[in-house]
Amino acid sequence: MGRTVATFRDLIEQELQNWKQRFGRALRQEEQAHLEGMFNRVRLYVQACTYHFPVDAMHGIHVAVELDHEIRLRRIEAALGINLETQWMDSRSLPLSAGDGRVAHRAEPAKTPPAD
Amino acid sequence: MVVWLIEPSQQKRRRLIDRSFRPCFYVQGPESQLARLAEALTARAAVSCALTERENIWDRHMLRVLQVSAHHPTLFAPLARFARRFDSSLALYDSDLMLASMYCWEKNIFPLARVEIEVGASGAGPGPNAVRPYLTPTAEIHSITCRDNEWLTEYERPPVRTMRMRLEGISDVNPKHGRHGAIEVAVENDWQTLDDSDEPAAQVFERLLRVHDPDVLVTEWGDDVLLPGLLRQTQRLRIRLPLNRDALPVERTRSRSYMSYGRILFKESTTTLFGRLHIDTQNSFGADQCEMEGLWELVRVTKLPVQYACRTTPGTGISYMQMETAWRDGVLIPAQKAEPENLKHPDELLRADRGGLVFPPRLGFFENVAELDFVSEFPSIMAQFNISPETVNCPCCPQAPRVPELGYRVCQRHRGITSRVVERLIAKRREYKELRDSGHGIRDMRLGMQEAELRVQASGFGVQGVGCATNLPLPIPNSGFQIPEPEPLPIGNPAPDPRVPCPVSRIPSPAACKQRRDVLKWLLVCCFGYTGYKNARFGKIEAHEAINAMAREKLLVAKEAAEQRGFRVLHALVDSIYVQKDRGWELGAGGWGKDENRNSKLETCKPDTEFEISSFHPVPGAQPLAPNREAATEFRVSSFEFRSCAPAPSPQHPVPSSQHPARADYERLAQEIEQITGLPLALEAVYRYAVFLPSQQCAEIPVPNRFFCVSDEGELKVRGLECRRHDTPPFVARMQREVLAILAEARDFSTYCDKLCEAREVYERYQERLRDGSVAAEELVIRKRLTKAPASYQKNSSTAIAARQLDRAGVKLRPGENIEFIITDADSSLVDDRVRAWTLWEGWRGYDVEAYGKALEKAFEPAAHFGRQ
Repeated sequence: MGRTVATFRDLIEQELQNWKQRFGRALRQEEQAHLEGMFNRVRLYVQACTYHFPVDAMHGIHVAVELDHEIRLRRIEAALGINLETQWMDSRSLPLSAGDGRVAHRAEPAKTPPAD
Repeated sequence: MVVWLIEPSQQKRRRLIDRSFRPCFYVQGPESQLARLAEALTARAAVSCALTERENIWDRHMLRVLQVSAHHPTLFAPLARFARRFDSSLALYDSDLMLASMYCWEKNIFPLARVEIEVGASGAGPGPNAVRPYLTPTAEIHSITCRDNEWLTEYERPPVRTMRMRLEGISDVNPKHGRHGAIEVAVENDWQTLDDSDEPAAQVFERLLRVHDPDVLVTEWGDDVLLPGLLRQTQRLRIRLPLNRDALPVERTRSRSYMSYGRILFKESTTTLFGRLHIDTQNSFGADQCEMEGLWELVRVTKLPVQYACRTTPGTGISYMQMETAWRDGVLIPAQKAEPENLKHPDELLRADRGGLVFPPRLGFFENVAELDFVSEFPSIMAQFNISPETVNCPCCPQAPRVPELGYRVCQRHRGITSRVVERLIAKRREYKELRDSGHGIRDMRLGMQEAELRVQASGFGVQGVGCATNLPLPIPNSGFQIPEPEPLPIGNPAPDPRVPCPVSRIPSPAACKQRRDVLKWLLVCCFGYTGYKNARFGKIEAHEAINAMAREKLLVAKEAAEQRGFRVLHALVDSIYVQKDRGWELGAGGWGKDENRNSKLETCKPDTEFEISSFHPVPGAQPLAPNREAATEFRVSSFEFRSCAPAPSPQHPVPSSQHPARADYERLAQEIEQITGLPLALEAVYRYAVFLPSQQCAEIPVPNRFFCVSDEGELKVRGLECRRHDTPPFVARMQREVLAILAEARDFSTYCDKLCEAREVYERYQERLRDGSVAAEELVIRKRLTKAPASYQKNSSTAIAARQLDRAGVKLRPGENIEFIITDADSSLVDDRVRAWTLWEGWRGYDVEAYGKALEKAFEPAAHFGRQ
């Protein structure tokens, strides 16, 4: 109980330190704070990680991070009053029919006017 | 065995000797070797040896062992040592038990019990040690019969004479750290200061001791400082200080530092007396945590000698209770733990080595929150599901029910020793609660004065010297007091109890009930912890893991049940769950699970820290839990007729109309969860509001133990804030308590915000006092525990600086000791000026206004965190 096997809270901290060493070093300064924030938010779901207790702690951390993103996404939807699920197809970056037999690709970046 | 008694009819103290006590231990090994050992023992000492059979606890097989009975108790330990040295391959059982406890078990008595004694003629006359009147003539006990029952909740406390002794000044500061002051002594709350100006303190104390002849000496720092100091002074003065009631020298043990749960702790040296009880409240777990009522209760149920019980942890008490049960069952008690942990696959270890579940709380200010608590959850699991070290994965039940997650089996044929011990403690604790709730304490106060005298006349109590305590038979006057029936023995406990219950009873006051309940709680908590303790004789880590697995399962079932019924789980902490029922929901029948105004509370929460989202809400009209899910989590030992720890599910207390309107719903939820889980669950409180605070390091991360709630009755519950911490200066703690008391008057978020303005004024007043220098220095003392020797500190932390100062001043500090200091100038470039050890502090040094101001600010922050002004 925390003596033989580290608690999941300790494992989150250990993984954060591991990832900060190399991965974090190669991040830009403004990105580094987000790495720590992302690991910190795993603590919101630590009871689920503890209960599941995967052999590799990063599996639990991945699921927790993805769940957190999912929850926050839904929260943004609620705040904006939109439902992205109804716009599911629109949100995909797949080619769509242009209605005239052509395939409409994603909007192309505006062409810069040729230099005179 | 020497037995000390109080004979209340004549207010006499008697010293008696019981020569019939012959403690025995057992040796197991090859019979030829046992025969050689028996021969060697009988040739050297007065012992009786015989081959007999006793049960091995782990496989329940009968073992053929050599029983060695010492004819004199003082031979017991040397004989056991001889047997161990004789052949180290021999296994010893019952060989390191405390003689006083063994005497109690054998005679069916306990310390401070009322007993009936047949005394023989004074054969030996006054012994060579007889120097005081109660020693002459030395009488022998022919027979001793208990007239009391340790499981009674209504009993009389012994009519002891108490003398108190302390040193003037802050009681928590160790006098060895340079604290000076005169000794103060009190008899019957009449305090008298003994300074050396007229007469040496030791001489005055000796006279007081002789005149009042107290049975109990309650001291502060008596173990390590006061009594040894007085003894030294009397030696210099060449007078005799009769601390003991016989002429034996005072018994002292050394101080020591030790590790416990990853923390280093310090145990002071002890000074124990013969014929008199010495209790040092600064060196006593029981007297410190549960006061004297708790200590008497601890002694009664554990049967440990008083002076030993108050200086040891409850874990030792619970161990001795287990050993007594084993001893009565004829089970061999190993001298050292011999049961190693079972081999496990790493996956299994990962699954098994986990504690209880903790849900991080939702952050914010929440109204109308209920706390549901599993009552003594871990002990209840042990009692209800028969989880005991010898019943988990027992060899006799291959088809037994399995523990969830782990798959461990639990015995169906034998009732576990631990289960039997805890169920009695749980039952007694519940009785105290019922006594307190039924208001019997009021009756006690009313009758107390009338009957006190009669009772003192009637009762006889023992004061324990070397061993245990007993009483003398006396006529009982007819006081008209209701005689309680003895508590029926729990099913499955074979211990016979032929003793007559105490004919004179005393209903404890509500305060006494609380103190006694507290000590029983500590015993129960330790009982669970000891199943996983590496040195516990009846410890087995698999039992510990099984209890944790059950607790996790039950908490999840409770959470699911609450959510299915439309409650929102705000927080869950191993054995308690905080739920909220929104205002919009209908109350009463038909209203369960209706979700009409789910987000109403979000308005009162800080939006950036509230993570609740609509997709996580319970679906209105959702199907109840699948039957097989609940069935799977239900774990029953079907072949036993265990007494249920859970009270009847029917509502016991009708809800008064003045109570919170949602209380009935919460009570119904508690009953339903109780039925599903099979464990007793109580509605601990309905809170007007609860404030769950974030981590101090990261404002968006919740921490389990940092919150405060105000119950419907206006009572505060605070966890993890500064006023609960031991290292907070009293000045800061008092400010926070005052602020919280003001906030406790609020009923909802808007009144909370109003009250916050009032609270801020208090805060500002404290800051003002700090700035104008009118704060007493004692109020600013910070107390910290040393984790290492002063010289071993690498960094210049406040604790390290203060420790070094004391070290230089000649104070010998040990790891685990507490030290006190004042911040004088936290930012000083001179390290030594930053803080000053309290006992070395002088007025001109002052204190650091800025540092203490920051501490006040930090302590006010929790109140203001979610407030709006």
